[in-house]
Amino acid sequence: MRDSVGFDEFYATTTRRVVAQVYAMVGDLGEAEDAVAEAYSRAWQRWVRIQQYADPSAWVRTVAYRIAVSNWRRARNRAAAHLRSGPAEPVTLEPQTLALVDALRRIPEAHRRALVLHHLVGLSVNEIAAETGGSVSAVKQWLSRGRRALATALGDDDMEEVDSRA
Amino acid sequence: MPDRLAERFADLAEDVQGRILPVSAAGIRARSSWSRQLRVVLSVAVGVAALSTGVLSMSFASGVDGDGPSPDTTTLPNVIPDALRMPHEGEAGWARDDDPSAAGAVNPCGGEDVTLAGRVDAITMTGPGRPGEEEHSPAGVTVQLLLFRDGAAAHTAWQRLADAMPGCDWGGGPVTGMVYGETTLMGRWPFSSTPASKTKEVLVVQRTSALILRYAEIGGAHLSGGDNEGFYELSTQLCTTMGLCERQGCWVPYGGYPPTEAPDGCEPSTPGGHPIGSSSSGSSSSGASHPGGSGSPIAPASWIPSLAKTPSPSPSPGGLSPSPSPSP
Repeated sequence: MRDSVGFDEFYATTTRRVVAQVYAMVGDLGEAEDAVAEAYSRAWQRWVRIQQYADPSAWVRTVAYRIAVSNWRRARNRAAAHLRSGPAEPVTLEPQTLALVDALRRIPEAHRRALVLHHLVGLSVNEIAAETGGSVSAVKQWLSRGRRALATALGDDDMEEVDSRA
Repeated sequence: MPDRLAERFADLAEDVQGRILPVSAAGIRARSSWSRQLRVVLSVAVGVAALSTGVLSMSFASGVDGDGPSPDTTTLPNVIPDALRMPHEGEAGWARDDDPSAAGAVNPCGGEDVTLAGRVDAITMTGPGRPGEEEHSPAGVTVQLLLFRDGAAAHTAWQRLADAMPGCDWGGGPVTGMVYGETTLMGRWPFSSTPASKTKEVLVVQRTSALILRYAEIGGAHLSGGDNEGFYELSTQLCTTMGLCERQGCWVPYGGYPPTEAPDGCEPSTPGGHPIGSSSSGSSSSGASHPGGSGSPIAPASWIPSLAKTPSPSPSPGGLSPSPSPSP
């Protein structure tokens, strides 16, 4: 029997954070919100197992990211979301938020994802490697190159080198 | 000096989290039910359309002599139940991934993942596998169960994998004859005679709206056939817990160790589908073809496994003594 109270509490305490993380990774807030909702829906279907994970929100974030970037699902999700809830209410974000997301969109996907997982989610290099399936050395490269590219896109000269905490 | 990038990300998180209005938890749980109902409706619609064109005729088995379950397109599962236990679950060195969108375990040319279209669920196990007894060689094995919205989608993915193999130096292809099942794809890389530092093996079997995939990379000796008991355990569960039942044979380990007793539900046979001890035993042909060619047909085995609803115990390893699992 699935614990709806436990799931609801998990959802309430993590969903906003996961939406922000996925939004930073994919650059589209509507896409991120729908992908995250779908991922939590799937988590509920598997809640008996998922709730035993050390970090269930990591599972949701990974699934949401893959849903969001899956090309063949994008059009269907937008149509389905529209049918379920009508046109999305526009959300007004701060200019610096939009600038950061716009800059992130200009760098390679792997670099972008690594930067978000490190600086927004707070994962170590080893943890990023585990979540993305990349090697530790590849993750370090993604972070290093991603920071340089992001600094160029943002016009920042004062970004410090990433620490390679494992 | 504070990391400016970290500050920017923190500001982003605060901005987004403070402005969005997520769906309620009850809405999320209801969405799960709504999605399930929608998939059932779609499965019915697709099933009716496909049946009228005969596309699904291969993937639905009638069972033995008319016995056994006939898959009902209106009740195809759209989620792999928690009760299903994957091969090697809980074993040292094996990891389970429940991500429905996980990358397909078999991708012969490393291009587009053809197993994503129509997929509704997935479970992926990765681990060291069981190398052949003659060498303790590094091996990495992925065993994956993919569930599709219907048999047509599963078969399309299977066929696209089969079509891709010849172009990337894979030997093998669709296997005729009753071994793992009526719709079986087997392959080994490299097919060319150039010595390789490693070899790869794949197995893809369709079970109505599901695919069972096995992908292995072997640094030395080839995988023994002893891992087949995991396949048969999974296949049995697909039938008993999800109603996805099809005819299958029971494969004697390729390493040539005939079992001392037959696995429950079937009789042992040599590769080629003939019972041991018959005049046709000893055939080494698996029916797998060279790239671009068609497999030589194998006479179906005279024995047919039962498709009883009650799960059968795991087949015995057939004389193989367990080998230490080297790290991949």
